[in-house]
Amino acid sequence: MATIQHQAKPAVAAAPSTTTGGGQRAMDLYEKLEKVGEGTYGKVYRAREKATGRIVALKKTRLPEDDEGVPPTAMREVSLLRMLSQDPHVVRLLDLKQGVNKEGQTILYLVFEYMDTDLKKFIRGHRSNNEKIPAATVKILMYQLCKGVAFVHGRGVLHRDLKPHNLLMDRKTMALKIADLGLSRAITVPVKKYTHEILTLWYRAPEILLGATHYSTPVDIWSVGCIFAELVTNQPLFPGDSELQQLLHIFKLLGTPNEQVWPGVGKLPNWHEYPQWKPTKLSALVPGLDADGYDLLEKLLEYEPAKRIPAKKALEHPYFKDVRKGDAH
Amino acid sequence: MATSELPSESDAFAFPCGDDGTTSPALSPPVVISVLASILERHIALNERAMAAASGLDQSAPGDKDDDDDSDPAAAAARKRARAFDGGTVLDMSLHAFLERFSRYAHVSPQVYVVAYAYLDRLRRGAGVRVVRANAQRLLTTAILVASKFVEDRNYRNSYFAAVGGLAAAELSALELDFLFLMQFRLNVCAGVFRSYCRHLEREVSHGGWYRVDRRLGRPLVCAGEARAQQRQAAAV
Repeated sequence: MATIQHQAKPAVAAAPSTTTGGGQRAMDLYEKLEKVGEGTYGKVYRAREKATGRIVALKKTRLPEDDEGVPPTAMREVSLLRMLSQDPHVVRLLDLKQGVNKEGQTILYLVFEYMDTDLKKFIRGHRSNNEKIPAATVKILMYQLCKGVAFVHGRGVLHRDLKPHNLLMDRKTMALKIADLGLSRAITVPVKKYTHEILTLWYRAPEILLGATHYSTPVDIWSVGCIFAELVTNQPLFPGDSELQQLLHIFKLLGTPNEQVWPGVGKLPNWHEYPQWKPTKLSALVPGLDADGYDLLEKLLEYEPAKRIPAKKALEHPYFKDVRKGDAH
Repeated sequence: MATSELPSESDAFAFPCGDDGTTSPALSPPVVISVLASILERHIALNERAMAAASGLDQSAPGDKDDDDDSDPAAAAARKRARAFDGGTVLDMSLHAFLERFSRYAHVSPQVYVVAYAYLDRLRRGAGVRVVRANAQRLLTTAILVASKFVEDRNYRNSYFAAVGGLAAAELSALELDFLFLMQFRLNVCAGVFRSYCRHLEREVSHGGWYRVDRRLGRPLVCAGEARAQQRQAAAV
């Protein structure tokens, strides 16, 4: 019986502090161990907190003396994580410090809980070993992803860059957490137009590719569907290398949409006549799922955004029946 | 466990000020600017009077601790950040004309003005920073800049905002950081809170400026989830 091993939560979660690092230089508190990657706007290091020995992830962003100031990506990530970090499936922001580097430039340090891998590495590891991810593991990971997305959406936030690289994992516990909210935005304040220059191309929803000026939570659900397929096959489902190629890739596999399957598609700004492909069965595109899995995948990759299954509803889908039994609530 | 009290999906994603992604006609740019200028003028007048009264009391209480008490480094750091907004130039035009510059030259949307106002409200409640003549130029420019960066996906450069606000680019970038730390980076305005601020502005319009926004905003405006999170943090301390 597959169940999710929830880590014991601390009795009282420490609230992230926002200190100036007054007195001690911010970096004097941490020992950098190694660079482990780059986020949307900064380098990421594995580091040790000297006072406690705790291992953390340190995201460093330099604020050069130019005229950009604090990047909106950093501003949004910190403020949205302050609101969302209480969820077990969103990476925890532990601290925020302002420091100065050797050249006298201002540095912002974001201190996160450390997770030892991400879904991209996890999938790649299985691919290079020519082995599939066990079906039970796929289900556990997908359940956690849907829970995290449901929480984020419930707070009125779009992630807008869900992809395997931004989903952190603990190899031992199979815990999965949503990270890198640099391209996220709140959708609680109405604005005239959202940008299209977000979402890594392979996981980008068709309504964005077709130039919709308003989009919402369904764009993240499409990404979840792409990730689901990739977990099953170890290969990205729609690996396009330009916006047009991305769109054609989707249409070739899922069929070219029309007014019947997607009312209003013809009015989207980037719509024009496309070759008329017929849909391929999901079971041929993504071999290895059971009937419930295909049903859920189909609902995640629904063309019409309004019909795409919300994350909260996805959690109730029969595919997750055996995982839900192990869930506390 | 108790059922979730998170805002329902329809609540979270409702457009409280009109369905087309913009504020309602009552809150068009000129109206929002006029209303905010009027409200802020009253706040400044009230705050100046309160400061005058407080300084009067200070003189008659020689035993009071010095303002720069260093017993709490975090509090001292916050005071230093707040003082960054004081001094220097004072506005040489009306608040209305000043606020209008951001709409005209930086194409700031009505929603950004509302969010900037929400930030000033939070600063007052949290860090105790009040708008006064000495800080209005820097505080308003910075609040509008930060609100614009948080709310809009496309923005002008800090140097452009600085020029519109009559500040040096380097000064504005430093103030931006100070503002963010004073706000503790709490920039999100949830749907319900945004709706409430819009309603207050609309009432100001319908009452022709006689409406006393201050009274109705007696209770801090926080959304349910954030309120519970704050309670947990308070319990944790």
